[in-house]
Amino acid sequence: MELPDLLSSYSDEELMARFRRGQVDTFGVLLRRYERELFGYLRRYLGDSELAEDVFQNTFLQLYQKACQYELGRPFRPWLYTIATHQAIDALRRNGRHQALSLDQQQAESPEGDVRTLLEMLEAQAPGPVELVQSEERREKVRASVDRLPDFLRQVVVLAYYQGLKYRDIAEILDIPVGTVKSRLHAALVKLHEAWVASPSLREALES
Amino acid sequence: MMEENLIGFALMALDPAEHQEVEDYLKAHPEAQERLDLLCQALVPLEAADEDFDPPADLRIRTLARVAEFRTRELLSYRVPAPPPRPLPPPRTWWRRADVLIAASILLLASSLVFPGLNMIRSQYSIKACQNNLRGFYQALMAYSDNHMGALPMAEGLPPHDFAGIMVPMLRGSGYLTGGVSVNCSAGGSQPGTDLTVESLDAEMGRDRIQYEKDVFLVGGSYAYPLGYRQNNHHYGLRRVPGYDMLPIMADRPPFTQQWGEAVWSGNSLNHGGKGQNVLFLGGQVNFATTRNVGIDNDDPYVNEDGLPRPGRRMADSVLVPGWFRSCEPDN
Repeated sequence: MELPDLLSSYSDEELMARFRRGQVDTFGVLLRRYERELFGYLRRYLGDSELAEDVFQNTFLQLYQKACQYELGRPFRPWLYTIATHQAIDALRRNGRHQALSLDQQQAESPEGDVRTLLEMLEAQAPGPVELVQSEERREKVRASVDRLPDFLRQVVVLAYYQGLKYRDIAEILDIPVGTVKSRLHAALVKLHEAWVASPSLREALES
Repeated sequence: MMEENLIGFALMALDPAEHQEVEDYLKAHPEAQERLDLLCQALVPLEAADEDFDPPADLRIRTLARVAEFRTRELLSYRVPAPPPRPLPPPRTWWRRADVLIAASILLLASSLVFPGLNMIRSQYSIKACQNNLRGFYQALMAYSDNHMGALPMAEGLPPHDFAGIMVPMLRGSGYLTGGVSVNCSAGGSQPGTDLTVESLDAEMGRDRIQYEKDVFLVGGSYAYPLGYRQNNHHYGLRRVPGYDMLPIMADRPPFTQQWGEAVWSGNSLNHGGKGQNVLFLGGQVNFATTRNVGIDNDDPYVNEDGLPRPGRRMADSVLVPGWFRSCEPDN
């Protein structure tokens, strides 16, 4: 049995390769490594701690069961996020919260979907500098506006902005082209901006 | 420059090539920097909701427990549940004529069946006893594997530990295999087996080569052991790997006795009169199979994909052979 410290120095991909060869203690290292990051993602995406916890456990159970399907050398993080996102969508579906493909999505992904660009909106509004103040009220309002986004837009905001993943990885996780990731993120920012501008209290809070 | 790429640039989400492209564009077009600043302002409010969520203190433990529960359930699912007990008919104190006739018929039938029946019972008993013996081996193999990073004891690629039955002295010498587990299938008629350890075999080889070869012949008894597989001129043993629960790791000895230069016999093991063979799988279940197609993808575990009792080409192709079969070809 190798010392945990030595195992901790291995890359995710090396740990998965060893796990596939039967070195079961690498599973615990991966679990520890992704505990905070993945739980944070699921908590943010699902908006519920208990559900996030349940999906987190299912994700690692899936990882255990599907380890033989992991292609050696393939980046591990997007693969793990793919499992987690599928599990999260299943959980939302079970809870009746998952939104199927909607008119919003069709509009957002059609060439003529966004009539106005984000820049046009920002230029028209000519806002003053927005300071970041960590007030609870502001946090709640921003979080609520993100939560109100359709699932397919919220996914890309959470993955790109909060999880800091690359467009290419997001495309792999969601199984969509990179161009679609870009356009969805753009559409999400347009919607968020509209929501923030339309909410006088939030706008006031943001500009305070 | 498209807005999407400027947003991606601000989030550092572009590929290196695209990122460089935007950077060059911004250098060449200073006015684009203003547009980038404006877009960054649209991202600023999101930061207000950028919380750091602490995972529950016992999340890791509970996740491991869920995986362990799955493993247990998986093993339990192979057990066949006992049928529900049937309600007994109400007792009767007298016999009708029909009862007498039925009893007489049963007696008549039973007398004609008693001898074949006894044979069948004896055969069933030997199969069950052999299965319990293999379960004893499984306990020893798992204990060994727990202390060897998931690896199972296995023939090495070179002498003197290159025969399949080396597993037995390895398990016995290190105390994993208890005295109650035998290398003899209870059906009898097989090799007597020995209590040799790896050390005593090594000493025997240095002292008396002929005796060593005799010991190698006997050490595996009436079972078949995994011979591992070869890849890129390296010999590999089996490991506990997720997804390989249905890989045969031990079985009753196959009907053939020669490894090199002789056609492999078809048919079942002779341990149970040719009716079939007990097979122990990596997942822990033991089945009595009436055909040899019990490996992963229903392949024959006694030969590799080339149809030979030699090391496989990959782990799923590993074969089960008599204890004295070698992992490497003899020098000619």
